Amino acid sequence: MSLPPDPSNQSENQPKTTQSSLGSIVVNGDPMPFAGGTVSELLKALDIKTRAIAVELNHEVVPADQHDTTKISPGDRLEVVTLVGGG
Amino acid sequence: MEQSQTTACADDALSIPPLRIGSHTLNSRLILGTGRYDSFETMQRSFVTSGSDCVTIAVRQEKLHDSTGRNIIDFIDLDRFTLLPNTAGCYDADTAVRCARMGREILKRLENPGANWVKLEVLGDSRSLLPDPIESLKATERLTADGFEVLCYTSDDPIIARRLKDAGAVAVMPAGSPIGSGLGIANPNHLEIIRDDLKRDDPSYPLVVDAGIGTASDAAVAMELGYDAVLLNTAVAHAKNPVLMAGSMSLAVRAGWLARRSGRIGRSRFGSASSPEIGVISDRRK
Repeated sequence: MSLPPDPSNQSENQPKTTQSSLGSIVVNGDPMPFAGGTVSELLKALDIKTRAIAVELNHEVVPADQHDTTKISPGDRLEVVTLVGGG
Repeated sequence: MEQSQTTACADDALSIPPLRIGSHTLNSRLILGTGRYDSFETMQRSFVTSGSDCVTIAVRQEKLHDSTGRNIIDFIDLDRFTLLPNTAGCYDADTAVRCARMGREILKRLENPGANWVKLEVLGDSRSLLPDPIESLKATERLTADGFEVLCYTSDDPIIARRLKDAGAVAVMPAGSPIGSGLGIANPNHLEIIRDDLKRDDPSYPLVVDAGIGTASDAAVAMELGYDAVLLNTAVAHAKNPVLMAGSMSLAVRAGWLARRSGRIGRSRFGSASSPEIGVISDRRK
């Protein structure tokens, strides 16, 4: 699977990542190239540092015990959420 | 010693029973929000002086590129606090239901007992931050059917409050006034109608004033109106001294609860002397 794009690396001198050959997914509203893999693999690639997260795939929560077996496909929309301060 | 016995008696007389909401039991009747503190450390110190044992937290997208690795959960003593996930910032039932389910998933993962309840907040207007009653009702029905214990934030409208209870909310939480406004209890009469209506045949049904509290007296008024608890955030987090204000709120909630049970005197247009009128060393009469 491919790594998520790092905005800091995208200067004007570098060609933007082509998404046509890889397919792309949308994570937290941002498109990113994606070559296929599981939810666990995506989380590893995103370098999520806390276990206080939940993952939603196409508007359905993916329970943590299914992260290893749930495949992500091109065109999928994901949300990766955590807890923050709020009232 | 006689004095210490008297003090012990007084402490016992002033003890306040725990509050049951759904399957949860709270020893403090002050529920705190976790937002808007200038640091996690100030938040932690405020939690200590508040005496609270329940805090509400929001669900937001994880930062994927500049995550600091500092998560609020690492600054909350999970042995002491019951977490109450909320759907703050949602504007429709669909989003609120998704948000609640994601909060539940996180808390399940943390093996936190707060996984089965939610503070439902569905807003209808971004300026006033007043709730959308129609969407709140729809979300309450759906989340209750999905097994959630729903504590529903709502306006101070008595009819929608009744509808939310009928839809299965385990607690109804009318706003005193708009979120973060500090205006206190804008319509005490409506809060009393809600109390009378929802508790009429169900005196232990939990009612919480959620939002609008500005200072300690507002929290005391909420409790004097017969509400079971107060939920607040900005009044403490944005006070000049949040740690002191958190302690003030704790005392106010206790004072208000006790005052309610004490049975206040009636209001009178004219004065009523506390000292005997007979024997006054004055020639003046009337």
